[in-house]
Amino acid sequence: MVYIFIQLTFFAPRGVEEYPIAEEEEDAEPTPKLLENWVLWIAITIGLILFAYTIPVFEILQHSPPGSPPFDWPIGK
Amino acid sequence: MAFMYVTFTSLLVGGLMGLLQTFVRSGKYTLPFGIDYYTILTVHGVILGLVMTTFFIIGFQFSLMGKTVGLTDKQRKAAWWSFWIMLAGTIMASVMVLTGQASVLYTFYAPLRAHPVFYFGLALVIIGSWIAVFINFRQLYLWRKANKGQKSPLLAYMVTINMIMWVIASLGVAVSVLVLFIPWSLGYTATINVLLSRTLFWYFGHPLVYFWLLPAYMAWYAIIPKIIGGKILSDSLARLAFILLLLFSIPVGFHHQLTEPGIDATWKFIQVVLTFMVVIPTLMTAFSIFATFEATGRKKGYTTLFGWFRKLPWKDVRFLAPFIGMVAFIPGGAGGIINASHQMNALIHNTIWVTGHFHLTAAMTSVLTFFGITYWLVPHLTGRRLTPRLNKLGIIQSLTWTVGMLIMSTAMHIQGLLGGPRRSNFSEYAGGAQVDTWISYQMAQESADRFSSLPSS
Ligand code: HEM
Ligand SMILES: [Cu+2]
Repeated sequence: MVYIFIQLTFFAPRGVEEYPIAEEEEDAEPTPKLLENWVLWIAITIGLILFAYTIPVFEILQHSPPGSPPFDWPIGK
Repeated sequence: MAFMYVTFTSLLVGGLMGLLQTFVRSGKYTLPFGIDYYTILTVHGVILGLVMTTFFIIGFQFSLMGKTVGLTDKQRKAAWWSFWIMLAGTIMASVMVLTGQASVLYTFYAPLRAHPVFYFGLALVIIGSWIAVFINFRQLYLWRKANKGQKSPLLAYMVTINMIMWVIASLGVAVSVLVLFIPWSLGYTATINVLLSRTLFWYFGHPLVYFWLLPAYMAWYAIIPKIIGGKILSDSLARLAFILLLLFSIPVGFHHQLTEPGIDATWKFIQVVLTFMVVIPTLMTAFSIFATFEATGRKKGYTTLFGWFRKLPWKDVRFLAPFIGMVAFIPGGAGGIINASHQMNALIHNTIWVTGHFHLTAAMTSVLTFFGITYWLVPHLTGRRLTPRLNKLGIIQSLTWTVGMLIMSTAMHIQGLLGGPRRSNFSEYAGGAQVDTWISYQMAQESADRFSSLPSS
């Protein structure tokens, strides 16, 4: 792979390699505007995260045993 | 338009260079016995799992954005900042790992302590990536202002989703590094809350693996159809799949912590349910890709039941490498569902099965797709061509990689089921009989490594 990469970067013959970006099928349904409502989707994302994490993280903070000092052995620093 | 590619090239090639060197290095990964196993393992995980993927993805995404919504001079300058900051952070962390000052594996679990410079390096990589995030957002924003009322280009939309996911997720690891690890490794705080640090890590860790996967999906949805001479089946389906992946990528980190005490089982259950939602966009993707293949073939006039399949461009490495990646995702995804099921997780957790799982999903699905992209992206950026000879070499590379990974990952799965531990240097575990059953699979992995890692990297 590294060899091919070097070839492609420095040695392959000059020319134009296409940048392949496909187009949509002509008879496809139009894309609903809703899908580009960024505020909505980001809000749902954050909502789900808060739902799934708030209470358990709170519990972790409340009920944790004493913290741990650093370990450099058997592995680490 | 035209001249900006020159700069892009350097950004991307700079990134690629760094990461491809690491391939060479990873080939060495069985060799230096003088060095500690865990140092080597950390190098392997950090360099391939974090550095190579992140640089490739950010470079690729910049090029997608540049192609579809454009890049201004100012943004290009900022992109260089992002590149250099990430590079500086990478060098700091790598030096620490290589000198054995940070043998903490790529998950850097507490209470293992690394040198503070390692954590500062990680923080810089994340800050650098945030610059890239905001440039990408701004690119799309400017395009939308100039093209009011139009839907944004599909690939730009996908990049934006991936970056939204990244920025929300990396907040977790940033908090963990800045608030917990750095003061602790400097000695300002005496102790660390281990469970909290692991929870913050996996809040980031699962979206991280999707961050590797989504660029592969971008190529499958929007690039492969062009390579096989077809069209995108449905733009809305692709966008919906990406939205679902965003929604269900982050609130799921507990599926990596199912065995951990201190987290209530109810919340583990809830996050497992959210994890399984991923099945929907995944199957949507599989359906859509194969439907594209069939529609393309039928349009070209292959009428028999599977004629369209035989006539896919198998000899074109730009297609073959990502295709193998897609196939690998079938067992890879199924394995993921097994991992995330609480009961079955008890069987495979911390065994080398998990390593087998992510070599299928990351090292085959994502990385082979990235290679398939590299084969046209690099010559496109350097103004050269993928010649038939290089195409052929590419095919050989993809096949060796595949065979090697298959043998290795199968052996890992089996050995894991037999209880073989992951992340362990060789040990006979006081000579238990069970251990003997692991040995042959270990040997299979070794030979697969030797066979494929040298020629294919
Ligand atoms: C079908 C979706 C997937 C599901 C449900 C899934 C589920 C899981 C689970 C539950 C684990 C933890 C196993 C354990 O340690 O007990 C895991 C580990 C892992 N997965 Fe996946 N996975 C999926 C796809 C992927 C993808 C696409 C990638 C990468 C591109 C990936 C990369 C990883 C990695 C790197 C680990 C190991 C983390 C560690 O070091 O502990 N997975 N997966
Ligand atoms: Cu996960």
